[in-house]
Amino acid sequence: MDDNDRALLELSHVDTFYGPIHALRDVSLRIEDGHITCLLGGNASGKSTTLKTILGMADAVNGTIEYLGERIGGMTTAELVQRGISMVPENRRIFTRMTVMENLEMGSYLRTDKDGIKEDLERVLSLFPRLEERHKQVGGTLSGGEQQMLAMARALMSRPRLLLMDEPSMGLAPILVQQIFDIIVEINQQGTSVFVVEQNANMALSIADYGYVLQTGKIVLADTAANLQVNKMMREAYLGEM
Amino acid sequence: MIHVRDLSQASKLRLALKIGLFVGIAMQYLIFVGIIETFHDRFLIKDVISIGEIIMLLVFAGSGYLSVWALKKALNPVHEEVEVPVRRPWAVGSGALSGLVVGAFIALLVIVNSVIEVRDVFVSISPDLIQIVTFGRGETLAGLVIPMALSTILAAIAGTLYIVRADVRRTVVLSVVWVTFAALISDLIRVSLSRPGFPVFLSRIFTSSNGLTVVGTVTVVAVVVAWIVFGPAVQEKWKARKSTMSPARQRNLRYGQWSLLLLLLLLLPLIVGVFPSEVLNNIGIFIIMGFGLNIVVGMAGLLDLGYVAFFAVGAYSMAVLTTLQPDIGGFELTFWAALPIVIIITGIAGLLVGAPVLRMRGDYLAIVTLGFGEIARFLALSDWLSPFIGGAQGIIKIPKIAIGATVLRGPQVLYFLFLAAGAVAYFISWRLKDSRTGRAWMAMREDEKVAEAMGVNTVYYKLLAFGIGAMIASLSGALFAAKLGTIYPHSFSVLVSITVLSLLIVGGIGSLPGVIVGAFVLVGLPELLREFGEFRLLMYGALLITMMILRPEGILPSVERARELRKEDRAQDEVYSLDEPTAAPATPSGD
Ligand SMILES: Nc1ncnc2c1ncn2[C@@H]1O[C@H](COP(=O)(O)OP(=O)(O)OP(=O)(O)O)[C@@H](O)[C@H]1O
Ligand SMILES: [Mg+2]
Repeated sequence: MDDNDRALLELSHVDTFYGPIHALRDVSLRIEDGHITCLLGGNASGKSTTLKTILGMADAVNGTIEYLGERIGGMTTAELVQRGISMVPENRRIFTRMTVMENLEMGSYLRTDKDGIKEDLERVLSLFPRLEERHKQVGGTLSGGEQQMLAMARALMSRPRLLLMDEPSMGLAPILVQQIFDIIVEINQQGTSVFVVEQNANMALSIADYGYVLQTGKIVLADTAANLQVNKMMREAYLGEM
Repeated sequence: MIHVRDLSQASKLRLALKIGLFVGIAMQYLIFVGIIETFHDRFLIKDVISIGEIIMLLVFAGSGYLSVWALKKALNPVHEEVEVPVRRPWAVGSGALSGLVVGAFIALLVIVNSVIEVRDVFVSISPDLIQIVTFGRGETLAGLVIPMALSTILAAIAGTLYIVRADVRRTVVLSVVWVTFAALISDLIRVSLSRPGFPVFLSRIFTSSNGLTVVGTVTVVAVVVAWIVFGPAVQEKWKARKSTMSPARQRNLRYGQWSLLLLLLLLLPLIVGVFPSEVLNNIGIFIIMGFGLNIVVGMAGLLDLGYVAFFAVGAYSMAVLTTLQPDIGGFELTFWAALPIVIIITGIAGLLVGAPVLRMRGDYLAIVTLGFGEIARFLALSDWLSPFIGGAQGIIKIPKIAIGATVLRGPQVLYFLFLAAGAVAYFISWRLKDSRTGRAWMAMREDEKVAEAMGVNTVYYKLLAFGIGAMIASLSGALFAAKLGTIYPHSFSVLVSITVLSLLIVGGIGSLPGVIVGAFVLVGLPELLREFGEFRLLMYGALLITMMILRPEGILPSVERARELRKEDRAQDEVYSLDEPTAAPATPSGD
């Protein structure tokens, strides 16, 4: 294997359990550096579990996880955040009692480079101007769309190399979903690799380069986004073909 | 859009009746448990009105106030832009009606009592009591009419009061509250005023051996009125003057204020005298623990109901290390030599309790820590450990604290140790609050999983919170042991944990000044109410309930907590909006 072929992050034959529940079965997938990769699947298919497994919040029992060629299975979340992986959790889960600014500060919790943090703060606020207007507002009083933006901004504050996103479209109006996905593209263009988990397959495939489909913990399809968009099984099962 | 809601007359009347019944039953309760009669011996204003009587009058007035309050609530069920006012005839009417019902309850009691011997069942219903509730008229027609009339009139006045100008209402309510408070602590006032150097007439003029004097009452009311009339203007002026000062002078002013406060704190035991200093020290024990538990519960969000365990470990380790009791310990260290060891031991105890509960949250954590608290007490009581820590006999002969060759004696001197320990605990809390650690705790309290995803090492921070919390409690425990000279297992009951937690809640959880205020209210007030014997706890409970209804966020809430409440306000009328009018201009989208 030569160096060019190495993925930013690679899961090989990973199994994850919650007690007796076998949530991920022999999952292998690659996230290429500089690209947007998406993971599609219905409810309870194990999408969130995949992200938790990557970020060390659920333990992989078999297989390996490699990030930049390094085995990261067994590392703590803090170590992984420090290495440049960061997550926008499902349902946004911003800190509702903290102000917008304090939420962003939590995003850069592990960093000590004051200048860098300031720089990133400006970058993030220019990406989400609405947050700048509301920087003193308490998180819980933001609208759903604003909360999603805050969750993304917070994740970006750690200056990630890889951004994991768990269903960013959940519960948002179509126009807002469009905006959020446009911003994801922009984030990617600024140099962050993105791994986005979605049920909204149309939307995700429209911005992704590569996609995987998960069904009850197993990867059942893996292809370029363009191919997936025309895949027959995909169209029937996930793209709401009528 | 305005739509005025209105209730039918019948339902308005029913509401007033309902409140009257409710308050009337409460009144009966107070009469039957004997509060009214007991407190009749104690004057609010000497020879004018007793506390028993004022309680009755306040209940009368309260029914009117409550009924108008309820009416207003009923008229404004949800927050609308325009408030529907309660019109004057209805305020007077509802008040009077509910008052009449309350008065009728008393009349009924008098009638029933004249027919059958209620006293056979309820010992409190004595002839004396009947005299009190009929305002001296006994079982006569006047005795029936007077309570009803008084109640009706007072309730009508109170009802009207609810709808008049806010400052008038505030004046009346605050006057009543402060006069009552001053009367309850009139003994303390008397003692504080009668000391060498003060002219004798000072204490006589304001207070008597039994309640306030008329002059004292008028003075309190005058101060309240002056505060309400001139207070805002004075504050305004002071603020304006301050804002025109140069930064240097403002800083000096701040220093001046701090030094004044410090001076006051240093002189406090001299100002208040011996007994109140003892009370201050007891409050100090709880203030210190309050700061410690505030770190665990207020900052880190770990609901610990077994906090007394650390207080106990601190007290017991100090006792064992310093006691001169021949069969225990044998270390006989001085307080100061033992203190660092005590702190370390208790800190380790904190980690030991913290470790097994790392994965628990909320109610589970509360129950398990509650168990730990009880285990600590049982261990202290156990025969098994009694060779080491004295079992049920406790540990005696704990020497007094000495500095050099000077032994610190008496509450007025010990006070300074409590002050110092309190200051240390305050300082630690204050520094932690705005630190990285404080942020991590705050994030953890809100959403542990997400905090973890941000890179917060939650295991470390939980243990840190337990450890620091325990160490602060050990300061309190160590001082407690040295202050008393003897400790027994039953001093470390679950009630201590509950009191500390309650004082946090009463003061406003997460707020440092709130800890101090909460401790004064929860620990100081019962001490001052000691003369009321068995009713002390009842009054105290009633006070707590009232306070939590009036100020659910605590007396001095922290900024974050106040924010939260505001948030909940907003959340009510927030609709998850689909339209985002001025959406991010960065992303114009064609759709
Ligand atoms: N903490 C947990 N303990 C036990 N089982 C869990 C836990 N978290 C997830 N599971 C189970 O693992 C399976 C996969 O869950 P996961 O949250 O990964 O699904 P998902 O694809 O993200 O679904 P959704 O689209 O609804 O978010 C489900 O059957 C779920 O019940
Ligand atoms: Mg999920």
